[in-house]
Amino acid sequence: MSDEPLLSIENLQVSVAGQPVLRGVNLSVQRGEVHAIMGPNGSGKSTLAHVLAGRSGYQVTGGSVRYLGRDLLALAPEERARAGLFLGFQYPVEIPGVNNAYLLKAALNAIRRERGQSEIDAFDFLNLVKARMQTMQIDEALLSRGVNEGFSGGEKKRNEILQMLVLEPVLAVLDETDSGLDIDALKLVARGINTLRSPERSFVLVTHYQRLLDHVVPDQVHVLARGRVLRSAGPELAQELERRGYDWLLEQAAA
Amino acid sequence: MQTLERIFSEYRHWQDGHPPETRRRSAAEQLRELGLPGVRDEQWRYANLRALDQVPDFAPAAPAAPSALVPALPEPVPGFARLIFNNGLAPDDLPRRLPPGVSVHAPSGQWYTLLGADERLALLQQLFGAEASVLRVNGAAQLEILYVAQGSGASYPALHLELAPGARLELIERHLGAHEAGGLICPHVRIALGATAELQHYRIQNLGTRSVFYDTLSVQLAESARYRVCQVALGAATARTSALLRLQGRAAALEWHGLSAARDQQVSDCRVRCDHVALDTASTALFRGLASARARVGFDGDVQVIANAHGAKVRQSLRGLLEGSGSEVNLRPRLTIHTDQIEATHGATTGQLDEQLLFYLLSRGLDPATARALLKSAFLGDALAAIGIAPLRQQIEQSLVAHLGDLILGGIPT
Repeated sequence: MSDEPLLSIENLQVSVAGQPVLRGVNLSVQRGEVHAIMGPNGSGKSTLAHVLAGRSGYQVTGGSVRYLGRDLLALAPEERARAGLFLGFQYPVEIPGVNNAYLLKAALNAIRRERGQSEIDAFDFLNLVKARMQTMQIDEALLSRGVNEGFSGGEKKRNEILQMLVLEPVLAVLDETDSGLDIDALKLVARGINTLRSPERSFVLVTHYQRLLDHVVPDQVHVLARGRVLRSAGPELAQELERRGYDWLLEQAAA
Repeated sequence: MQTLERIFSEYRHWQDGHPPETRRRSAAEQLRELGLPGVRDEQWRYANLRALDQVPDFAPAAPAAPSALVPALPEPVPGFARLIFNNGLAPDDLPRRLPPGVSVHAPSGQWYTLLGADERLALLQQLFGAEASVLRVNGAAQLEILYVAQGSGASYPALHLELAPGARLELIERHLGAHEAGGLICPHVRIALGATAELQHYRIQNLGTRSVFYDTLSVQLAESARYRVCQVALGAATARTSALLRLQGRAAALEWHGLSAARDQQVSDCRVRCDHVALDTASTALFRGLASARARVGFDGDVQVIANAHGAKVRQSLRGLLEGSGSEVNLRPRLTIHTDQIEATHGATTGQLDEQLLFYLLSRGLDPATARALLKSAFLGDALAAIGIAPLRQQIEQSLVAHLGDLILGGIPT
């Protein structure tokens, strides 16, 4: 196995509608690691997550991103997903008329085809999904409903984690998956993430608060502010941020 | 020569000097008085009326040989008695082919009373077409009528349906056929629902893409009658439905579920006028229109609630999807309300596929073509969900796939 990081972001600069949002982000994620990205509102956390997943509307004006030894930015969103990159949305969209089960199966088969595997048969698929739904305590009836249609906020977030559990990505980027969750739902989401933790799989958790990190202990915590990573340290940094907020870091950076 | 003059000229020629029947003479007089609709008529604003000018022949076509019809016919729907109207003409042995509970009657003079200017093109049916087939329903029945248009010449099917109080009917009407370019199909269907009668009406227009289709539907509902329509418009170069629905009895209720999918340069337009004229009536109109390439789709939902129709409930949900740079969808949700004791909601949106939804699907590994097909199918799914007869829904889905090409209907929740 190569020593190259699973994900390597170098001097990434991104603008939205001509306004710079990311001003030179550097980040390196090894296989098996969990990284938390924290930061105040408007610091560029979600922008980073969406740029990694390939969303349009963001102009990459400089820098590079390598993933599994490939130029990630050169890949279309669906190619990134099939290469094992999963984005958990902060605001999962509702798609009335597209069946949850259909989407899950189509997504899984797209990834399996990319890996040279045959398509999963209906029986195995149902067994797999039902087991994962049990982990996430999601009612099986939701499978036949439209994607996120009429789901509560917590159900939508749990459904994102369910998709992650079924698709078994190599790198999961979870954009504020913990926001708006009550403590029980937060524990479920954390359980889903921990279920999937392995030496081969990595996570980038974008979060505002330390509380998710009580349940999913990260290897590294980064503070993103003003479009840059201002500080990186171990999990103790999250606890310090919880106590002191972000101002002291911003002041240090300005000095 | 103006189109109206040409119509009368062809009519005289077709009559060949014979004195016209009363109904034809009356239709000619009304048509002369009202004139043909034009683009300045608000109710016809989005219809393609130029196609009327280009109709090659207004005289009715002779029936096609039965053997020529057979290969094009869809599989029968289990439980439904099937009638075939050949180039607008009812089968000679109509009474024998009707299911129990449905009988044939002679037309009454009331049939020829016009309800409004929307029905003007139905006058062409009265001018050129055969007598309406008058069917009366008692009890419960299931009936399928195929209107098959073939060859050259126009086709003028006419049906008058009376549901006795408490009667229940499931009716499938399909327009099929491979007409010659500009061939006119001009049906007129008139329905009267007695008190507490229920009609589930499926109207499927899947004509060849060279036909010109001007359709008139007039319905009256008595007390507590229920009328539910699922209309699917796929075919014809030009299609227009003019529906006039009158909720005349207390607590009468109507649901209109419409789906129009137009491609290339098709023009598909539908106007539904619904009059609430009694207490506690309810109407729902749901429309989904998809226009690709340079096609045009229109829906005009015109609801009128008169001053004394207290307790009316009105709901409209109209959505359009644009799929081509030259495509056009015109939705007009219109409520005219003369009472303050009413519950009304309405909404109309037109746009392209939602980029957020598209990205969500791509981020799960679906390729762009599949993601688009899935979202298009989902868009149409609302209207398809109203089709409660599984084999019929399957046939319609197959027709949609054949018409639009890139749909994934297996992804629609059931």
